[in-house]
Amino acid sequence: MLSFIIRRLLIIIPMVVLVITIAWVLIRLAPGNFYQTQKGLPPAVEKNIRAKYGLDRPWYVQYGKTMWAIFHGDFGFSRKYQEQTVNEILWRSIPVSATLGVTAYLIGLIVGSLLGTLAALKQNSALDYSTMAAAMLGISLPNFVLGPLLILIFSLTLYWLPPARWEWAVRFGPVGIPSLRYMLLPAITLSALYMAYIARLTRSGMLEVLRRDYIRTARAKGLSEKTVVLRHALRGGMLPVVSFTGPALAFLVAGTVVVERVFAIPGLGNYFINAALNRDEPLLLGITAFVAILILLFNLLVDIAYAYIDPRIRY
Amino acid sequence: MRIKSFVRFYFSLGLAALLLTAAACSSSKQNSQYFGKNTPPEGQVLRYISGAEPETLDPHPMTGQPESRIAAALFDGLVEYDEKTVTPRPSLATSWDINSNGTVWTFHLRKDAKWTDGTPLTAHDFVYSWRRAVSPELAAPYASMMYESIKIDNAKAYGEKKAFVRDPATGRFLTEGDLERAGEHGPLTFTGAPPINYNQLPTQQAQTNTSTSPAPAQTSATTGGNSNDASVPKVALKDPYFLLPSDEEERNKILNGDPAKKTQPNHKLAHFLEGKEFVAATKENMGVRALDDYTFEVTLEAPTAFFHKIILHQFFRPVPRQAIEKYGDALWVKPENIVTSGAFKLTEWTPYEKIVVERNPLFWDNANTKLEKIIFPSIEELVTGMNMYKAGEIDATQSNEVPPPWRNQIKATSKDYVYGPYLQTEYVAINTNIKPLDNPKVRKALSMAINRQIITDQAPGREPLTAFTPKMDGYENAEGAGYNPEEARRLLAEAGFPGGKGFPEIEIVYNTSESTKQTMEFVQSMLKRELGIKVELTNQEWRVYLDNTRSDKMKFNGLARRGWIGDYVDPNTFLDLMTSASTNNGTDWKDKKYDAMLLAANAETDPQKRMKMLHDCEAYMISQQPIIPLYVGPSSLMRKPYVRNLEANLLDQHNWRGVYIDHNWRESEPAAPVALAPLLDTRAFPAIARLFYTGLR
Repeated sequence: MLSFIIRRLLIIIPMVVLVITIAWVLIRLAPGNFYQTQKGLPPAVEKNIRAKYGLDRPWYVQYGKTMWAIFHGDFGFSRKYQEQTVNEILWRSIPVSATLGVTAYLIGLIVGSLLGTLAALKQNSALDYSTMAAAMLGISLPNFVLGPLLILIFSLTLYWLPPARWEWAVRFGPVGIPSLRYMLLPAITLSALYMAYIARLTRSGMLEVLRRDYIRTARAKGLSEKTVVLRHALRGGMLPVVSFTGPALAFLVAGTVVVERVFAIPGLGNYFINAALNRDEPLLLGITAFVAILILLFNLLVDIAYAYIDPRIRY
Repeated sequence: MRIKSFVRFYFSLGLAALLLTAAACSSSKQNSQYFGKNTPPEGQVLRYISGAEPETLDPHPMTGQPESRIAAALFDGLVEYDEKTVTPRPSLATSWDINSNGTVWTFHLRKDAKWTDGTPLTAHDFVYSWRRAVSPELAAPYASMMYESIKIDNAKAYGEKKAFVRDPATGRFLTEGDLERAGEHGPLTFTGAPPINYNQLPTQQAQTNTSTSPAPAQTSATTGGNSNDASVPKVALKDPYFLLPSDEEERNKILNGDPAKKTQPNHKLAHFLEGKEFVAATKENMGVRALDDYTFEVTLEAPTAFFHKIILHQFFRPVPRQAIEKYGDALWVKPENIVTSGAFKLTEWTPYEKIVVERNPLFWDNANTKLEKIIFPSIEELVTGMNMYKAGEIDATQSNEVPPPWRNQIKATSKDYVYGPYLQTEYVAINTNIKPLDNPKVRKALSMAINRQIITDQAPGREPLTAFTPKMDGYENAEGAGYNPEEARRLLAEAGFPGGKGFPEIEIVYNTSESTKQTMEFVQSMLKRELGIKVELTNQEWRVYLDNTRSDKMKFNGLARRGWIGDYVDPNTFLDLMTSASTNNGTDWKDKKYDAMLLAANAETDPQKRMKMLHDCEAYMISQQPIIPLYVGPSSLMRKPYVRNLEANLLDQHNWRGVYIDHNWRESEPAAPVALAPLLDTRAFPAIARLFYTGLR
């Protein structure tokens, strides 16, 4: 197990280098540049700008310098937000995205697995059908729709909750406890899809497990239904949910662009899309590297969790 | 952008659902003449949406409008905006003198101005700031503002790292005129006086000059432009220095040819310059100096009647040397380091969340500042901004925060929609290099085929544009040929394309944006319907579009959408674009007569006469029709009824000093029920839905 983990951790390094290199090449292939505005630039001014950012050097020098700096953990200053370093931006926006993403996922996990389990236990009942219908709606109703809808009802009609933005209630350095008033709508919007997905995954997983021999054995031994479901069935039934968690969490932390834009939340997703649109190379490389590491790490965690939950799996 | 169309699709879906719910839960709170809640914030606090997250708060590298409004709160200028007319009012400068030919401006500064760290703000700060603005090391994108539209002496030479050429035998410098007079074979005589060192005061300098060499006065004057048209008055300009790159490698590429770019060596020049010295231009050569602590003098290469209007721009506002030298060009603007001079000082900057500025007690006119605090939340999406406004979390917005298709509806139902004229034009640039668009008749025909009325009816406040500049106080803009399909067809037939037959297929390049797309589709259909010309629409992502439509690339086959927002309230901010040297020309229409006419107009000191001359410039340009003008956009902001002294004006810039919150405001008139019906009007659906995502540009 330990050698497996070490092996996987070591693979992450060349993978991340590869991902950064690809991003570096792609942003150079993209037409346009970060300094062009609607006002035209005289060639001499353009030349001064290119010299300032070292863009007049040969490509291998630029690549080497960039990679050497990244290797030392320094992505440099953002090109668009000129007085902020990429590290600063990541340091500030990751906690926001992570808090929001994890909260949304927890809501999704708790409510979803509960509904899924209930639906599986009462298969083909009214409860089952209505839960699964709601889940279907949750999957097909994108957050572009749900977000504005919730805003319209709770912020613009009832005036209960703020329609946008993010506030920390308590702050400890970069992390903190968010203000619930601000976080509620975006978290619910974001969780809907996961709630629905998890409900369906749990239901099918549970249905499969409940028919297994070892469950029948447990029941035959005279264990209470509660113990059978919670101790024996749920553990197996949740396996599909676990494998879904890794990529889902990584996506929640990094890919919540739309919700962040609708609610004007200063998270990573917002920076990600703007970095691409602004051809902000250092910022784009920084976020790409972070997301790549995140996805690789979460996948590793999932594999470890698998071994823990399912005794048959050995590495 | 695939992501965008994906997003847009879902947004339209979302909007449809949203509208249905709106019908379901329309509550009594909407029965007001205003849009949403009207509870003023406590105290004198203004919450204003200026747009997305600022790139920087340093006025020099700054390029966007959202940040420029914040800069106006933080940094004082020689002059400050008038809230209504946005024309200059004395601020740091209490008065100024102009010499007889309009090339030397002397500003008398107030003595009670201080930086927020308590140090006095003097003329030396201006000298430092203006030199920094141009410096090649800072590489500010707007550096050429100091040497393109206005020409500060030697600013170009310094900013573009150029060198003067000196004859070691005589100590004289080479000018453009010298080279012209030398012809092909010479002899070449250097006649230019040494470039002025502006660190020395005028009197000292006269002494040093006479002591070194009895210099013949530099009177060899040339005329601006080379127009032979006798009707254009000639403007005497100082004979400009001949400049070469100060970098030896770069210079040799010009003299000896560049094998990489396959340029030919310039043997004549190389021969002429043999044994001469190259003197790199320095910041001291730039025409700004402090005559004393409170007198700031600017020397220009050409007379510039609108100089006091352009210096309202944040690029000309002084920056604190003490902070920049201590913390460096990037980090001095951090809230803990920044030193400013305006009516407000920065107290909080949480990127992507908000910027908070508070009253600056050291400001010289602090007694007249009314607000205690302004909060600028950074909001990217128009719809999000409107949501916050409606929920009463925002007191006022920047111009055009209301998404265009909402405007007719909001204007009809909400008294807080304030609008007025704006210096914003939309037009189509014609690539005059390609056939048959090189023929003015063809260009004219294209322009006359467009019925502008239909475009202007799309949103309130739009005005049809047939020439190039919007209306301005004291200026009567020219009128070009309007919608006249018969005449258009006749002109096209005259040019050899009756009924559009044989007309090659051309394209319109535009940037991905829903409202632009609509307008360009309209232009396309008008050209097809009235002239039988087939036009292809080419939609490009913003930065791709910017790259292809650059004046030095002109990579578009026919037409390109363009828009321009004026930087200062003077027709020159538009007319300047169409000069041959402008990097914003975008049409490759280059006309010596036009250049000379504009130069002459800007040398005229009598304002009325000057405006007439500018009018003639515009009329002449539009007679050649290098562009298809479309419309002038309105300035339209949302403003709660309790906000005072914040107006929709020509530049959408504000003088924050006078703005205040009127806590005595009461909604006195009886509330009229607001019908939700128009919002649910099925005809408005596609437009509203389409619009919903224009914000993602």
